[in-house]
Amino acid sequence: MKKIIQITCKGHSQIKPDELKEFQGNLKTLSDENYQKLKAAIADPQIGFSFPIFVWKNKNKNYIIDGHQRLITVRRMIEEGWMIKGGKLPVDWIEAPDIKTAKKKVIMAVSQYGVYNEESFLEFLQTAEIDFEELKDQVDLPLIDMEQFALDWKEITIRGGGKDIPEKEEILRPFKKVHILISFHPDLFSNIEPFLKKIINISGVEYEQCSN
Amino acid sequence: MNSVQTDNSHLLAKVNLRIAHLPQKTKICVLDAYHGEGIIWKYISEKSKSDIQVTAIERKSITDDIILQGDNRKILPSLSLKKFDIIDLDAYGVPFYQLEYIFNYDHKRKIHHGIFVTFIQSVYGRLPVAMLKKIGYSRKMVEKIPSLFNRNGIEKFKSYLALNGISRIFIKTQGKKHYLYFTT
Repeated sequence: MKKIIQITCKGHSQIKPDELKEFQGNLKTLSDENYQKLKAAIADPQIGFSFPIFVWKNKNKNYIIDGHQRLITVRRMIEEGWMIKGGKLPVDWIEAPDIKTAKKKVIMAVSQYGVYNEESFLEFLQTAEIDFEELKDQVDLPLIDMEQFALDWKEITIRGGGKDIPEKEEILRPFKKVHILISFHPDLFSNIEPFLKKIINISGVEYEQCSN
Repeated sequence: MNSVQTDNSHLLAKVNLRIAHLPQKTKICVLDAYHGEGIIWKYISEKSKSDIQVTAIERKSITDDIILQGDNRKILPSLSLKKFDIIDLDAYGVPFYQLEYIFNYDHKRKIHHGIFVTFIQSVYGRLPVAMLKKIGYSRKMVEKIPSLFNRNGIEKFKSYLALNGISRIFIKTQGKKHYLYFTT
């Protein structure tokens, strides 16, 4: 059975991955480590393919303004046996009068104007009650030392962010048990049910049941 | 290969369980067989008035800590366990083979250890067949209906502990995750 990439957003249109044309040359690369992270996020059914690809249409060709790494990842996932639900990716249309302006918009999409740091990231996680452990294999935040943050997160969890679980004391008693497996056709159930009821009422008898 | 990994959740619960059952000694020797990043015992060492000396085992070196690197199932037999007060098996899974070794070791030498165990059985998680055999289920039974004999793993694990002479356990439970302390 094929594994399914869930589409978890709505774009203006839907396009097949092979109808999208790369437009950023060698501007950015995707390391294998980050491919694995992006794949883990897209493969997570709750996250899935979360944002439309931004596309500039020119002479009937669909040039990607923003979404190259996601498309590369989806294409690799397809090679690995994944399937996009519905077969198409959501896109939004970006306007530009010419190639030069469209390429400028590629750079704008790559640019990061706002900054964040460990403190602001921590505050965001805590406010949203997100466990970093669930997220760390799916994201890459270049302004944060992720390995150090993972260690700090564990410290924080111990020192105040985590929850304790009540402790119970239990006395274990040594036992001598005989295990008997009774396997029968459903059609025989009504015949043997009275005997089974007798057996389970015998003192000391424990039973478990299931179907196979 | 030891496929049992380290569990990284419920750190506070694990720390508190360990602090509650630390031996009353000025110097405590701990064998941390699933060291991971070592955060639990580092934190307890800071908090405790005792001098806690940790010998760590981990398959991969992921911090700057000096550790015994490798599969704990291979390393345990090369160690003299007598010097340790506590053996910590904070595994993600069922550290059955490690416990088997420790129970036999302690039984033969008539010594005791404080043991911390993390027991986790995932939804479709199978229990070690060798453990099920120890508590009386035959391989044939288990193979016939695996879902029946892999159900309610913690109770089967407690039966296994009882058969090894463990009469009292302290346990914290959250869903399928169980954190235990007992003495051999």
